[in-house]
Amino acid sequence: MVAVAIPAGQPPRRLGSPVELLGVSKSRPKGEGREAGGAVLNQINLHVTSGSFVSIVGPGGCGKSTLLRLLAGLDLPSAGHVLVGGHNVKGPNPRHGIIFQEANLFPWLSVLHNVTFGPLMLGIRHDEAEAKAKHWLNFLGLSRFLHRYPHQLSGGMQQRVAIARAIVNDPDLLLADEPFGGLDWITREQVCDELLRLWHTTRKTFIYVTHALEEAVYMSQRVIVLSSRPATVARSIEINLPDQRWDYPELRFTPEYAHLVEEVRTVFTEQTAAQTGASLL
Amino acid sequence: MTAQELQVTRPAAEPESVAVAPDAILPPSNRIINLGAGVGVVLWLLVLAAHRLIPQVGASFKVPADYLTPVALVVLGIFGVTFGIAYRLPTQRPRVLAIYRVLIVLGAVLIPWEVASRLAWIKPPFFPSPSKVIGVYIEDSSKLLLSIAYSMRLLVVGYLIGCIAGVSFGLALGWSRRVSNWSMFWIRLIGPIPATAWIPLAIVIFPNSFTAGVFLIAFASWFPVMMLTWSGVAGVPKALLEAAQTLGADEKRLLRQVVIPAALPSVFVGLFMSLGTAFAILIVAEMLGVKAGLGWYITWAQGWSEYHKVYAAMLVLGALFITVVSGIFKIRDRLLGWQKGILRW
Repeated sequence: MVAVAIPAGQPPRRLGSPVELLGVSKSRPKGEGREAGGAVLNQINLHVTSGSFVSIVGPGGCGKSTLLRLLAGLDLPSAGHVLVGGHNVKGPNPRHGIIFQEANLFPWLSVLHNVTFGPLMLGIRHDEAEAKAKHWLNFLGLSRFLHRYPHQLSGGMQQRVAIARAIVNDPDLLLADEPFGGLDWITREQVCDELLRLWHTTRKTFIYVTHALEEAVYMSQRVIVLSSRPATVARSIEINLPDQRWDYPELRFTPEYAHLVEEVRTVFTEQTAAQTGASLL
Repeated sequence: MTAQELQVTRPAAEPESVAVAPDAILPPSNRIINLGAGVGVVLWLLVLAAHRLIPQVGASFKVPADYLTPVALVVLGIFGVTFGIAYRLPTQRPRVLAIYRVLIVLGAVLIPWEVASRLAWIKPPFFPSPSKVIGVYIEDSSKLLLSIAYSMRLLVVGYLIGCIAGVSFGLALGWSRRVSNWSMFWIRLIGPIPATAWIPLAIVIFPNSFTAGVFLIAFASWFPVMMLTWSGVAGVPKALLEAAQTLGADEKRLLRQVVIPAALPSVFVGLFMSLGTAFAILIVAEMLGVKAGLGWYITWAQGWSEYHKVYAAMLVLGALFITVVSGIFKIRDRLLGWQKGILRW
């Protein structure tokens, strides 16, 4: 029954870190970013328990990506605290993996070496790094493509390599910023299931930013809806659906599921309407 | 269910299109090979005929050594051997055809040249006969070889210094805002000054003509390499840097393992560009008073009105350039093999 042998020396599984946002605000000086500057995030308070899967949705341009960049340490908040595992986030940290909108693979490295990049940066021995990388590439169905270059892969496969590259460092927190936006729907559903399976196996803390509401419901234990810019938490909706959702192909057609999607959509529409109203004034 | 069991239920990897089969190229047909060999042999027989049958107009009593006849015979021999190879080993046909193309063009050029020379339409010393030019490689080979060695020494030392300086400066400029803020103005001012304008200063500063030549060549290759390295570093996508940072890369490894490989294609454009300039400066530098080298050889031959030597040395320069360029191409193919399939290779 065992499809994948866990390489020897793999550290014991542990839950991911809890994440806490305390009064986090972010503003940009004029002339930067898409708009004229000003506040992007306004007093966000959020608590994500360790090992949970949380999705963040919100109107376009509301600051979802900014929030994720703060969690990844790629930006620092203007006010408030971003805490992962009880520590302030001060900069990029290999313990906080991130999957970007684009796969952002290193084009000069093969699939295998893209994935070993992280472990080697952390000073892990070469053979051990390769064993880890092969393990996760195998998990994601890429074992036949170890020696391909990224440009020889389809978009879905590139994104899978990006997932492997993020998870191979054994991070406590895995962030994803609309990672499957560029994929067609069939591939997208497959990769989503793969990510869910990955979460289920590793029990890291996953924070998933998306604009696809239905996908957010399907993936997460909790959906956070952000308000329009400057973003605050508009609503947090618990998703009480079975864990191993890929085993229930009819799940998407149940009344509970439809109800949850409707609930998220209602809050989302209110927020979008507020934004449109504001810009009309 | 355990984690491992779950993986069994996962769908098989989707059979997405990945394989890019190399285009199957059919070997050239018999007809093409026959045609190539036929045209080539006819042309070279004509070369031979022009050389042997047309009497030399205005011949002096001293008959010059005949080098064209053996060359033409060797070429005809080559046609015979390669023709055999083309039929024995069809995979070698593209190579055989490449040789045919060169020899056909060479023959087509030699016929009118030889005829004009025989009928004294063109006259030595400025326009010597083909035989006389070929003769240089035999009669003057030791001096020519020595000149090649001296030229290569000057070129390699100067070019390497220039490239190393160019890549280092370019990396520093692209990576550190402080370095670029301080030096941008000066580099813009000094960089575009042609290397030849430095000759007066180079002669004064450097103890001998070799070091002065090295300086001029290094200076000429430094600027293009630096500018293209700089633009390569500046063009590294920010997203790649951020991806590397979130994977645990510190500043030093970011530079070595992300910035340098990402900038390398641009660096190679700079290396190729500056090689042309380096060659031009090589000849100028050798005319400054070096005692050996191809540039010196050309000047010296011109002084004696031995134009056949000038032309022979020019051909050698061309061949040297091709050799060096293909060497750099080999290095590029090794380092940038990943670009195959992205660019037209």
